[in-house]
Amino acid sequence: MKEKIFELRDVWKTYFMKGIETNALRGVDMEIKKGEYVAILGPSGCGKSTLMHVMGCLDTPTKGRVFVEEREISKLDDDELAKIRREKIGFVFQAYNLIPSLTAAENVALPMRFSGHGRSESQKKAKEILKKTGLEKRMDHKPNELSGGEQQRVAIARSLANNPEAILADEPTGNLDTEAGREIFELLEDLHKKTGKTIVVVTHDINLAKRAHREIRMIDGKIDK
Amino acid sequence: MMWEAMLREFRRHKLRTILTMLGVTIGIFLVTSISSFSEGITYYVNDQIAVTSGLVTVVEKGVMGFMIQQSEIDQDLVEDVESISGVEKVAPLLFATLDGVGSVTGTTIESEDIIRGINIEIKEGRDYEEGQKEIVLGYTYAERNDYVVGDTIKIEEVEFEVVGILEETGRDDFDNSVAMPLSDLQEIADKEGIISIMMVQPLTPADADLIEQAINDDFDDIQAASDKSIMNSVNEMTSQLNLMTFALGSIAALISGIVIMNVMIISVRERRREIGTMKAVGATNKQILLTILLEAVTISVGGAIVGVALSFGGASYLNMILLQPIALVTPRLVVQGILFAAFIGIVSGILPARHAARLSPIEALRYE
Repeated sequence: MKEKIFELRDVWKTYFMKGIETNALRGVDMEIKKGEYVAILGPSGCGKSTLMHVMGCLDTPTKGRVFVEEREISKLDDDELAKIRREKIGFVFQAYNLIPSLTAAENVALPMRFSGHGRSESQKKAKEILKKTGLEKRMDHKPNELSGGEQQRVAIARSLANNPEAILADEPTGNLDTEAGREIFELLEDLHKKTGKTIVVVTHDINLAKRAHREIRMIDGKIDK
Repeated sequence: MMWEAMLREFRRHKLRTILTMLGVTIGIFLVTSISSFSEGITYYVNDQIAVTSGLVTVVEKGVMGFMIQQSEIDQDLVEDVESISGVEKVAPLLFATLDGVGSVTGTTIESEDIIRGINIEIKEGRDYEEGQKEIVLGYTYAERNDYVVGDTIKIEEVEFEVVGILEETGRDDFDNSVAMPLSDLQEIADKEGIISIMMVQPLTPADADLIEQAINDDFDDIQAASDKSIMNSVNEMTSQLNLMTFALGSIAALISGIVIMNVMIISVRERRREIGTMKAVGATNKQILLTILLEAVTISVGGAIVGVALSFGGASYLNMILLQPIALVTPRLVVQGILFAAFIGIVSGILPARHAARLSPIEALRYE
């Protein structure tokens, strides 16, 4: 039996917007084991991004318990959550979220810098990772000089910077055309095959979701069983 | 921690960064320039007091102590002052700036022991004699201009002979001096019957205050000050200057602090997404706080460095107006200006930095 990396028990997330209460998650129970390649699927607004944020320690649940590597995170403070994000999880966002003033290599080096590694050491490692994601020639370019597909590759490289246990990708192909989207999925698949890292992808594209080893379907803030 | 990102951020908003710095630059420039004046005057007066110790200085009424170059007194008053009880001796002095040599001091042979009260010997040659077109040079002056005893110098179209060179004293005013008999200087500078100041030597030190008072009470055209009262009035002036500097400094700090805070708040708001991303990839609240704080301090200290550099120019300008090298930007003022700016940066940056540090990574990511 493989170790669990993420475990959610009766997780609720409630937002208050202009006095109106919205339940983005309504009692989610779920677990993901180390090394799994999972797609979270569902229509927009079903709460799949919120689920990923809670899982990835970007957000805290209103109710319920969340475990990362068996450690309950609901009670951790900001610094401890930052440490988990930095060491255990790599994020890939729909809008890439690269720092526009930094080059591709500097963006990839960023998580290492926050871990306290020196500039040149981080840069060197960042360039090695970028080479593996096929961006050897674009390392010194700024995000606005790169195509959408290339930017997302940089973001994936960044998610690998601190060699985390899991990669969480939130609609990674949402801003890309079909071809570029397929390439990104191939990169993630390849990554899973070569490194055995846990990969969780949120998507609404059924065809892409089929490439994952397991699908979790969400509807109205719940897992559709 | 993230210097490169910060420097690029500044470059991205070049004009905004420069304008923000400018506020600090102007503030620090003004404060340091004014301080350089009170700093310099304290040095200057302390230096002078060593020479005038125990003497009463008499100048034209209304002329401030450090502008004695501009003082003009009728030479006939020397006799009147000599007749005041308690006065032992009066030394008349004339200062003039002449073609060929620069500033020259003229006095009488008899009063030299008052002026060179700190026992300056003539190192080479002899003292000047009246009416012979002779001059005595300070050590540094002679050295720098390559003059030796026996040389002639053309002053205002008249040839003077260098008859003596003073020993080195380590004091600028003596080492750089050019001295000649009072009557010769009056003639060549077209100031017949006029002197700049008188140095009065009392019979006993206790007489100094009485002489000062007698002159100030009985004469319309001149004023007197003992070294003690010079010290007092200088202290009063510098403390007033310091008060003014303090007021100006506070206003400058307040204004530039508000400007920096405003810019940092805008900058943090603009970069909410970036800050959120940094937090998502593992930056702690403290790392974000320090990054933003460092930006504010860098802007502020950067501005201060320019301000301090400009204040050297400001001090030179003041000295040009005053015709004397008084204003002095000391290392203490440089350090003070930069530390003050760092303080402004920290105080004005703390609020935006805390705001940035507390942004939830998810709120920041949502911000489009």
